[in-house]
Amino acid sequence: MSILWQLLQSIPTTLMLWLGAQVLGLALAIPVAAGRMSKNRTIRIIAIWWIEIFRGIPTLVLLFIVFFGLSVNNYSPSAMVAGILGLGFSSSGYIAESIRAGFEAVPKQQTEACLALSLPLKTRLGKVLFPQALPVVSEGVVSYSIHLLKETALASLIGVVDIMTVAYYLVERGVDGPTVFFFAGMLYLIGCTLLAWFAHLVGRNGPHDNRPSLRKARAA
Amino acid sequence: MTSSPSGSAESSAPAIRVQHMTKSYGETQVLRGVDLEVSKGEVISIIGPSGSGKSTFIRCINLLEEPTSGLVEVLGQKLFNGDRIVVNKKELREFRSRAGMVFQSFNLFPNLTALDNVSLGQIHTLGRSKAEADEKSAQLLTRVGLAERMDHKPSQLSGGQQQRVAIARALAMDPEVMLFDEPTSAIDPELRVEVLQVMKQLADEGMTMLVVTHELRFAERISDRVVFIADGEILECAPPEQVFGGAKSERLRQFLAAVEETEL
Repeated sequence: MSILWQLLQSIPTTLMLWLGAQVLGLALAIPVAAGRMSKNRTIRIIAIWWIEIFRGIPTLVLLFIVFFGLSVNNYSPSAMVAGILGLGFSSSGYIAESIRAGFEAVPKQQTEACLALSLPLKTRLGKVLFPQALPVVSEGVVSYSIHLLKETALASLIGVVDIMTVAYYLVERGVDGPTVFFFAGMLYLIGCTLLAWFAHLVGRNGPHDNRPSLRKARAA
Repeated sequence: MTSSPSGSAESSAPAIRVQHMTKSYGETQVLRGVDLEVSKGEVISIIGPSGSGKSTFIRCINLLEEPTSGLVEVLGQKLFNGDRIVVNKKELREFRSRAGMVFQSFNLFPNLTALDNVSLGQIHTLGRSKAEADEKSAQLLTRVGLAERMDHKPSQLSGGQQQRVAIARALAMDPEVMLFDEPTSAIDPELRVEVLQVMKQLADEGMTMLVVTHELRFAERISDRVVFIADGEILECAPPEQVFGGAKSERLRQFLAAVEETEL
């Protein structure tokens, strides 16, 4: 029982990594996605490079680069900060692409209707395009978010004391490996399942739920 | 039910003036030098075979598409001259709010109710208060026969109903000109009449209208002049009785004959 207890105690660390990376990833992804859809060629190319770089480098390599490579004025990041930065930057590429996919799923005619009505950009984005992009965007973000929760396990390799680190520590102390990692695996599984379930609850029948099945049901 | 030809008083500046408009996509020339003047209060229908450039022409008038060359002047404002747009973004926006556009595929905002669709532009473009906008929207929706459907989303409305909401949405901006791009082509034949009735009423009220359409009977009834476009050129531009009566050009005769055959 004490094995489980020790593993449970590391949950907050894993959650913090996940939440930090998620927030940072989203915050970075929004301007990157905007840049990716920009009419300005230079901005668009910068955004494309950003996406390709952070999607193309393995998350583990990114974590090592940040942890070992980043030091400004004698400051080097703690394992937790490096973990959040590494995971966050790697998320930003994927999330930016989800956002873009969402906006591109909105028919071009919607923009034309906005132009014909002379709607200001703010209204066009906020009241027309974003609400319609949201179902696709959130689908992508949620699915990446679940993936991200599992990816936090990589941060154990730069010394963040998360579920994996504690599990490994227990094995070193002679506890049966398969048992410990079984429990650790279950914790991630429960976390991911809860997340998926929560996302489903929030998304279901919401004002922006635009699933074809529902659209038909509503039209009927 | 015949409407009077353009006998109404013609004021100084035409509502729409297009000269030598061309439009090419790469090598393909869609419009080859189109000239048209529309007086205030005039109703003009544009007919012609598919792919003849009708839709491109009307979309070039409010610059949803940019012509390749020519002159476009609407409501006394030069929008396009030579080979480029000659208004800035603010002027273009200001102009577009005075020219209503109705699309073939309605293009309502699916996330908003009928009422909100009609109010959105009033609130955010014209700066009306929500109460004021909603009141006007309700009036307009009632006028197009949708008083009972105001809180429905577009997906809950038929094609004919959606298009009437779209017309109300355009009218809510108090436009001086209305552009219709095949407004009934995407609607079930049985439901077209309800849209056409609304348009007929608008025409009778003196709205300046440019209508791209395949409804020849309708064009004949409401138009002051009918424009026949084929292969990117205006081949006929005359009062309906002339166009449909003693068709002159061989191309128009062919077109009318072909349409008649499908309508039988």
